[in-house]
Amino acid sequence: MTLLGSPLRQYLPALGLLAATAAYLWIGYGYKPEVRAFPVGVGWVMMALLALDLAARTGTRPGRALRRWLNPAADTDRTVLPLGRQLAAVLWVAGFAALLLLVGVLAAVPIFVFGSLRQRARRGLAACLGAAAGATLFVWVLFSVLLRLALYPGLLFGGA
Amino acid sequence: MLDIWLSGFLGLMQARELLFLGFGMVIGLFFGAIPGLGGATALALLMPLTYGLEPFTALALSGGVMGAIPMGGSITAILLNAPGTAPNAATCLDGHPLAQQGKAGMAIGAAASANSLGGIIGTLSVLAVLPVAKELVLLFGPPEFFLLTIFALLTVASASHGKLLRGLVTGALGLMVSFVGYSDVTGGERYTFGNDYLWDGIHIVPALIGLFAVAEMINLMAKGGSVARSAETVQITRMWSGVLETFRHLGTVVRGSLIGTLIGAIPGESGTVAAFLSYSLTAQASKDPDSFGKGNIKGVIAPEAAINAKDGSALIPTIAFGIPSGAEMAVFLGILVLHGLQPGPLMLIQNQREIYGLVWALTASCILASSIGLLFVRPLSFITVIDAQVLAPLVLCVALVGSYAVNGTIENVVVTAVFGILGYIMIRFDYPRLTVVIAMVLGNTAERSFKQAMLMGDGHWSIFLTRRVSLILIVLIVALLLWPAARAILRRRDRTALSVRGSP
Repeated sequence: MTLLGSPLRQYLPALGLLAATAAYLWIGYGYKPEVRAFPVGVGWVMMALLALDLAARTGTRPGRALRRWLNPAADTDRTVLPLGRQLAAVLWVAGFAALLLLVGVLAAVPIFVFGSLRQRARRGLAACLGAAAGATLFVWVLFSVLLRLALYPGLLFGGA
Repeated sequence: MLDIWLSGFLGLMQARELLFLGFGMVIGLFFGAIPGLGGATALALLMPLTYGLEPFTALALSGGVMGAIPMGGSITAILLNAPGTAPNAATCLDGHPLAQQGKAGMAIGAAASANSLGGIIGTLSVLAVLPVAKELVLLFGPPEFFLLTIFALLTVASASHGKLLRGLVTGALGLMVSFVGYSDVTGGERYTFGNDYLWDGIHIVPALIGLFAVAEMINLMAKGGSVARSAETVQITRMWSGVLETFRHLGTVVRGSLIGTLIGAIPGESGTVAAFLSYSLTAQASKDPDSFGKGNIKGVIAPEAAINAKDGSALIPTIAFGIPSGAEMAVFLGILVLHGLQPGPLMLIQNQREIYGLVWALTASCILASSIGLLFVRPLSFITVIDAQVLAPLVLCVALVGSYAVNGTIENVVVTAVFGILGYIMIRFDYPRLTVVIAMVLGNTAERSFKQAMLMGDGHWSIFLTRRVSLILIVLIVALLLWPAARAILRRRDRTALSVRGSP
């Protein structure tokens, strides 16, 4: 499906940012005038820039001219990756962050390293166990012993 | 004057001072290389250890740490696109593409030598400027600070490799993020949604780790393979060609060093601004600006020279006014006070030996750390051929736990993960990430300076037009805005002339 000479998905990032900026402005107008002055000002500048960005994404003549002037190199060398692989990578990282929050550093690190190496890198059991132990030892020595930082115990084990 | 320089230098050449300098340097290299740690953490860790030391020895140790941090940070920036410290983010722009092309050795060689030369030029500039430092720093008031932030943002956006509009969009996004939290300028809180963590705003380091280290690891995991496109292309023998490249581009080194020295001397301005300005101006001045971001060696040399040159001059506002230019200098200020050295104009007169000794320590440290960096180029380059699915989890562990270590707050991990995903989306949709960082760094300074400037001018905008440095900055901003259009017209004219000449 196309709109003004460009595929609809072309507009998605700018539209997403536009929605976020609209929410930012809407919340901003709830503050006192002196408190909101600067953020709201920047919000409106963002709106103007996004309008230009959207216009530059169209396949129309003015759109092409805008692109030539302001974004000549955009989208020139993008590698297409399967959406599933991208989502899996994002979820893997989000999962690790959630794990850190839930079970704490000293449990999350070995679980994540072991799981990643076994599931994604397809390494042998001994290599996975060794890497998980090594990474945990490194994190413990560096952050807990040398930096004397109390490593987060996790929400499930008394962390706040 | 020469006798004080020499006195500081000779003071540093004692066995004890050299030992502590070396120790500080090793710590600095290590902490610089790990995203999330950096100079402030290293100095904070060492601060209690300096308590029993002579002030001069403590300063040698601190100088060793501060001088080596940038070299450590540049190694991970080049190899993994994960800058060890915020200023090294500028090194990623061309350093990482070089590593992907198998030229990690050359990039690290160039970074190391630019670091050393930048440090030396920065030191010489500081030594020359120290006697008149006070007058120079006083030229910059709130109107100039505000205009400087606008100038820095525009410079970085305009150097976004032909993506000016998208650079400006992400710059505005960074500014919007920077306004989260309690504002000491207006006395109100914004966008905190009642969350205590957000009261202090979004910390730059966890956000930076997310935008670069985590986003890059997600990208690597999704793509598969390794950082360098193939093991055969990793040319680990080219580090000396990197050193030679630095000497071939001495103009870039000098420009970067002078920018670093100038920005470093301005209170409140950070090494990140210096590195990005140096990078952007080098790209703007280049005959082939399109090659920047794709592995142009000058894109490594320019920021690296600025980062180390900045370290020396950042001492000027810290020592002369007690105004630190960043977290690292704030911790260093604590070390000075701990040793009975009271920052202020009097320190420039009463503790000259210590000040010059510190400046020499910084220089020695950056030269030695660069040499050590060169020694490790060969083994380190192999990181770029490790399977992404093995490398990514290990880097992610250090990155996320490092983000927690910034101030022992678990919410940092959430910020890092969110910014990591945002950074990945930006990679996929081809939005520059660097302008977000620079805008986050400058957002509050811009607002504070603007309010102060308007107060100074009784609410009249004319305050920006009646001061000499302000006017110069306005001219530079207008020139920067017009430059892309002017360059396009000039190019079109060149092409037309060529086609006319080529036609029969």
